[in-house]
Amino acid sequence: MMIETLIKTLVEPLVDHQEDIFVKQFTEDADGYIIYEVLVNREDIGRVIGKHGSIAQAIRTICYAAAMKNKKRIRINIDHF
Amino acid sequence: MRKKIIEGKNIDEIKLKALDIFKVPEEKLNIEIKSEKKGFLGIGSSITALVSLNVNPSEEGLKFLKQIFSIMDIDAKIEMMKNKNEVKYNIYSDNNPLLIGREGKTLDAIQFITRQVVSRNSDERIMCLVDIGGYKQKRKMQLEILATKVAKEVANSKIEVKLDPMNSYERRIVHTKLSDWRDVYTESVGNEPHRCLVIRPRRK
Repeated sequence: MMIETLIKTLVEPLVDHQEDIFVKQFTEDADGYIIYEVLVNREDIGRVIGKHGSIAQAIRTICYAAAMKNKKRIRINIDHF
Repeated sequence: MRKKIIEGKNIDEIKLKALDIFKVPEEKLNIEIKSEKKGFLGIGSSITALVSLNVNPSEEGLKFLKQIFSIMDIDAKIEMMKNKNEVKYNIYSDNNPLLIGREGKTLDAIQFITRQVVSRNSDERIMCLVDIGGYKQKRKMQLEILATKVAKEVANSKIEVKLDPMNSYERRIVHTKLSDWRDVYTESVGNEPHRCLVIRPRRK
C-alpha cells in the first residue's frame, strides 16, 4: 500500500494528466520480487521516463529505499495506455 | 511556471477550461488576455488568453519532499534556504542512512526528482540542492583531503593517478580544489556512469 502511494506521489507532479495515473501491485513472483505496474497517459510517458531513463531510474531508487525499510524487494515497470 | 493558451467565448469559459486543465484552486490561476475578437451582435466573438499557474516553485518542492517523507513514514525536518535563483533543502531525519543510500545514490535520486518538480513550476532555471544530515558537506571535505593527498603523490612521483568513478558534482569538487596547482592538472575520462577523474603531472 505504502509503495503504491509513494509512486503515485512521485509521478503526480511530473505529469499533465494526473487523472490517468494507475499503479497496480502484483503478487510476489518466483524470485521474491513484488512487481508494480505504473501506467500513465501516452503524452506523459516521456516526462516519467526522462532522458535515457533518468527520471524512471530516480523513481526506482527512491522506491527501493522505501521498500528496503519494510524488508521487501520490488520491481517497477512503467508503461503507457 | 506552467502556461497554456486558451480560447473561449468569454472570460468565464476560459476560466472553466483552465480549471479543468490545471486542476488547481481558482486563485492560483493567472489569466492574461492576449487578443479579443469582436463578433457581430455577440455572435462569433472570441478571446484568447494566456493562462499561467501562480505558484511558488520552491514551496512546491518543499511540499513534495514533505509528502514523500510522510508516506515513507520517516520523521523529517526540512530547512529551506532561498536565494535569487537557488534553493537549498537541508533535511534532518530519524533515518538518514536510508535516505542517503549507498554512495549517496538515493540522495541523488531525491535531488533529481525535486529538481524536476521545481523547474516544472518555473520559467527560469532554478538551481536546486538537497542535502541530508550534512552528507554532502562531509563528502566535500573528504574529497578535498583525498585530492590534496593524491596530488602530492603525483607531483612527487610524476605518475598519473586515476580516481574511482564519481558523479559530476563530486568530480567538480576535485577539479576546483586542484585548479590552482602548479605541478598537476586534472581531467575527466570515460563515459557516464563510469566517468572518472585523472590527476596528471604537468610537464616542465
